[in-house]
Amino acid sequence: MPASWWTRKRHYFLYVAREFTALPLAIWLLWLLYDITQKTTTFGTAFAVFSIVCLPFALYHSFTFLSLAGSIIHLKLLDRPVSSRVIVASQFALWIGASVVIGFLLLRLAQ
Amino acid sequence: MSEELHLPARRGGRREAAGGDNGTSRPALAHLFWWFMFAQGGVIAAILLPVHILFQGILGPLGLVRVVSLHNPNIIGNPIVKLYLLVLIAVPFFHFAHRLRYLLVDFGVPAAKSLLAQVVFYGGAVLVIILTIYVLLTTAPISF
Repeated sequence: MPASWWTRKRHYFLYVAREFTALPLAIWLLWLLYDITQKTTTFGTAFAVFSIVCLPFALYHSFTFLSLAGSIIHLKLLDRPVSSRVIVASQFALWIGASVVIGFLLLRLAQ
Repeated sequence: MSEELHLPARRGGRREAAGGDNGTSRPALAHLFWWFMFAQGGVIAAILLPVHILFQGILGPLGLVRVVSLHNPNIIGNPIVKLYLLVLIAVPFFHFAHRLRYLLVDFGVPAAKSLLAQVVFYGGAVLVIILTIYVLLTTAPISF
């Protein structure tokens, strides 16, 4: 198979993009860990630029992974199967809720 | 290259079913563990990472908002913060390790299927956990 197989179909490209999100996100977390070991913060313009690159990858991972929940999780409520749309919606609600709480804490604890 | 090929639970499940036919079935506990960690890593990364990248990575460093400092001993010394950072930083690596290994397989690197590659990738994830615990325990004393 030619090395360019993943550029031939949109579906293949999106699949590779989804798997690739792991790399920038891993580097971002390792940078966070490295920053903790330093006396003063290493989070400057370079980190901001790198984070701007990472954010779309993070959002793409969140979007694809939480959408998958609809086909993985099967629940029954009052003997009726919960529709996958409800499960996916609850995953996205959890994501938004957690983001609001964490965002609030990240700002609140700065004082 | 279908997605099904990359889910360890399905591969493990199939193997276990085959084992059950000849009466040698045993719980695929190793598969269960790695699949569980893969899924948890994916959930943690999906739910927690974007907001951290947005605030600590972009808005904070650009000076648009004041975000929490991980160099404040009151923050980084807090055991709940340490536990949270351990989960945030280390658990996603079980997810990343699996995805990157299979990305190599799909790009035509058969060596990525080998036992050595599995040891390197999943061992790497374990190493990140150990490293994170070490960093969190040595950088600032635990305080309440």
